[in-house]
Amino acid sequence: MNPVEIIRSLRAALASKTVLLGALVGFGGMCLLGRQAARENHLSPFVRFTQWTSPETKYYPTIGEMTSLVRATVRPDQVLVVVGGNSVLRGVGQPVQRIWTKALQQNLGPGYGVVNFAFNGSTVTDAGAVVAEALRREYPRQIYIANASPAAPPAPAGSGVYWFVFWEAYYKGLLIDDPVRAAAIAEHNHYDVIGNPPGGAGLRELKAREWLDRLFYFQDFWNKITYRHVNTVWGYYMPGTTDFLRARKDYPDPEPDTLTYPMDVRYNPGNLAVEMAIVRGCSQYCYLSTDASGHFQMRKDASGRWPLYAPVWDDFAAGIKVAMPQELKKRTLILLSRSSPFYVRRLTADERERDDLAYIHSVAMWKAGGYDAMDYGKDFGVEDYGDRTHVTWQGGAKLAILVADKIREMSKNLGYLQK
Amino acid sequence: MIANAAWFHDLTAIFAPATPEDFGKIFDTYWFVIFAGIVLPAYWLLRRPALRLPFLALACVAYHYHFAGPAGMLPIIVIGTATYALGLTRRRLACAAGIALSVLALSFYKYSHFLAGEALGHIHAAWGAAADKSAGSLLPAAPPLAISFFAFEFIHYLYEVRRGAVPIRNPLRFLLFAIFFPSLVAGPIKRFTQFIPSLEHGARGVGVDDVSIGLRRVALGFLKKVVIADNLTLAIAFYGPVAKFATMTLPARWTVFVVIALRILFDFSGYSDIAIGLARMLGVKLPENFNWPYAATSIQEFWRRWHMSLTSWIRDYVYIPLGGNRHGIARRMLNGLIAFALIGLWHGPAWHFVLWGLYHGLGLAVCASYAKLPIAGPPLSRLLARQPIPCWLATQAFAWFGWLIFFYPVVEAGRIAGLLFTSGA
Repeated sequence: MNPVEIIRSLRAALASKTVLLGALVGFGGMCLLGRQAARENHLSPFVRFTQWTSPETKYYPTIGEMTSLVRATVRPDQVLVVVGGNSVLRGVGQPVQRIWTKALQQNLGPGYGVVNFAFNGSTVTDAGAVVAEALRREYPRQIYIANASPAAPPAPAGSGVYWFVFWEAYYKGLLIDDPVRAAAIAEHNHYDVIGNPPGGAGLRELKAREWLDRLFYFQDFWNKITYRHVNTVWGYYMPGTTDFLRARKDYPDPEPDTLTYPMDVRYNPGNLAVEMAIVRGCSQYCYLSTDASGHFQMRKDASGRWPLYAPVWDDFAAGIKVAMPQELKKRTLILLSRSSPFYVRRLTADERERDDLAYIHSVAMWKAGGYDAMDYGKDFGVEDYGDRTHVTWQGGAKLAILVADKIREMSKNLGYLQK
Repeated sequence: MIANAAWFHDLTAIFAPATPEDFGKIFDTYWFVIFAGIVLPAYWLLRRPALRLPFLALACVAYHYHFAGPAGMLPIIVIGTATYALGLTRRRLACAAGIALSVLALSFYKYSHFLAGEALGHIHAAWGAAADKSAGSLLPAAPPLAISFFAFEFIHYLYEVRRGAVPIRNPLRFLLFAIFFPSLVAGPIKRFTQFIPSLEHGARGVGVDDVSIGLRRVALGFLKKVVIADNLTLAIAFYGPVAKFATMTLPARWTVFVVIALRILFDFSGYSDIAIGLARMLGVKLPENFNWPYAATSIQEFWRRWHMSLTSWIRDYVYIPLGGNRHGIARRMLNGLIAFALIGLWHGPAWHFVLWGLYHGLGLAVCASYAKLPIAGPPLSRLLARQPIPCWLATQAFAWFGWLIFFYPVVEAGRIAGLLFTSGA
């Protein structure tokens, strides 16, 4: 090897080492930045998650983002009120300025700090529940609110669409070690995440992601980049194809004001049959009996009562039992959202009675399971709803009054107000 | 990084992956990240070749087991064992039998429904339906992982042994040739005469250069695949369907047309880059698969730059054995058309893939022979030789319109092509 070749190979080796060193330093730096991003609140200003900050557009909020947001907006001396649940509590159909959780905060006053972590299609055990659980030591005076349908068992933690928040918190060691919940999760481990191959491979893969994120914090790193600086992923629901690179913080909350919608838009006559089937379905399968030949009957029994269909209620009770650790149940408020009177009024008298019964029974079941619960909407008007189930901001204001009263009562019972 | 939603899968299903097996979810899985994070450093730390190769084989088996499952491993175990054993005999007949086994296995697992439903069904509907039903009862839900790649590699192996090459005696080395994890699912299609020496070289020592070059290649591959191609895939799945395409403005349609061409290049070459880079990080050099195909100024050049390991395989084991260009222009064109029809069919069991292959076969035939046309041929050839830009434009237009046949059923491809030249719907 002549000197020129030696110099060339030395230079090449040095270049290779420089590249490797650069890669190592760069990767390490990104991990540190991710770790830092998880500790600061970059979701500002925040009122609720929108389509720009939810999985609909490939934005997967992290536990770090949500807990940092709570720390930045709720003082430790306030009672933390975490709103979870689905689109109803997210305030679909309510403009951001008049969203019900703002009214709730106003009603509760400065002693309480309300954050809205509801997502479309989310269940009792999803993101809000996980955040509240993760903050149980920092905010021991806390109330978690979610909504549910009558006799609907909550999805096992970490198995729904918003699985990712639970598993992230799980691998980061933020959750209570609850053997009852763990057994339920193990039993439902074959449940898969939507869109992934059957047999649990998708869930295993996504658990691997959260396990890796525990080490590298890449989710927080990229979420901060995409939220504050430049969006890196295109999605169908992004506003246009050319400006999708804009930082997500720059997109306005797109929620419309359904109170301004005409009634035939809120209650589309073309959908009447479908909506009525859904409303009827809320209670239809909770009260069944079988005749001599084993066929289901949807009618009252000889004594004039609606017969409870045990399998549905047993499933419901079992789901309630394992949904969250025992110590967190008593500070959890479950709201059962009644359907708009526009549809309820169209039920027969018997069906209305059955519908009412389903809500009453469900509230009782949740309470028997150690939670607090209430239903709402029975005395709401047609104009309080933007569709079958979502309330307008006007209905939201009524809801906020009811919930504030309930929260104050719970706070008193839980001893929060004595401190 | 990874998109997970039913609608995403529904929409992306419109666009098949660029190779027969769905390799879109292997290298960009978190499982693979963890796997590579363990296997690569462990391989580097094991300094002795006697330890490195068994460890690598174990890792490859774990990789194959994870993505194929125990039942999915059976075909490669059976066909691989047979190939290994028949190769050791060095007998021409035994090798031919082994080749036939790979061809039959590939045809059975991948083309049974196509041959029964599409081919036989057109001749006799009832027979086709019966054959399709019989095949359906025997076939697994999906073809064995990477069968298009390992079947071609086994055929190449036995063909070369049959021609006198020394077979791989060491079963461990043969196992690594069969299921070398970087190239298992998306190629490049390896040649054992190059792979085994390179594997042994890697086992003897992996240099800093290897790791650095490999890492850069892997990073480039992920950039192409995850950042560019995956975003383009989403955009195409949204804007690509004809109904949506028809509602768009003319410039937007042409943008989608360009995006389709870019997406397949970045997706497939990105995956090849990751495979080549990972192998290099183990000290192993895999053959190149892409060399700036969209810079080609003729169809011949395009195919010298696009999916090179497949093209050279078809050339060596189909085109040349058929007679290549040795028996006159008509036979040469026929051989070319057969070879390209097979290239098309390799990408999937559907007529539009065959048509795409024939389209390129015809293009290549015209390109290779127009200079020999009487009177106009020579001056046209001289003129084009001095005009690289029109040649480049014509070549790329040809190749990019070809992607419409590749991706869409024929009628839809025709409609999309038509919509590119009219502003109406």
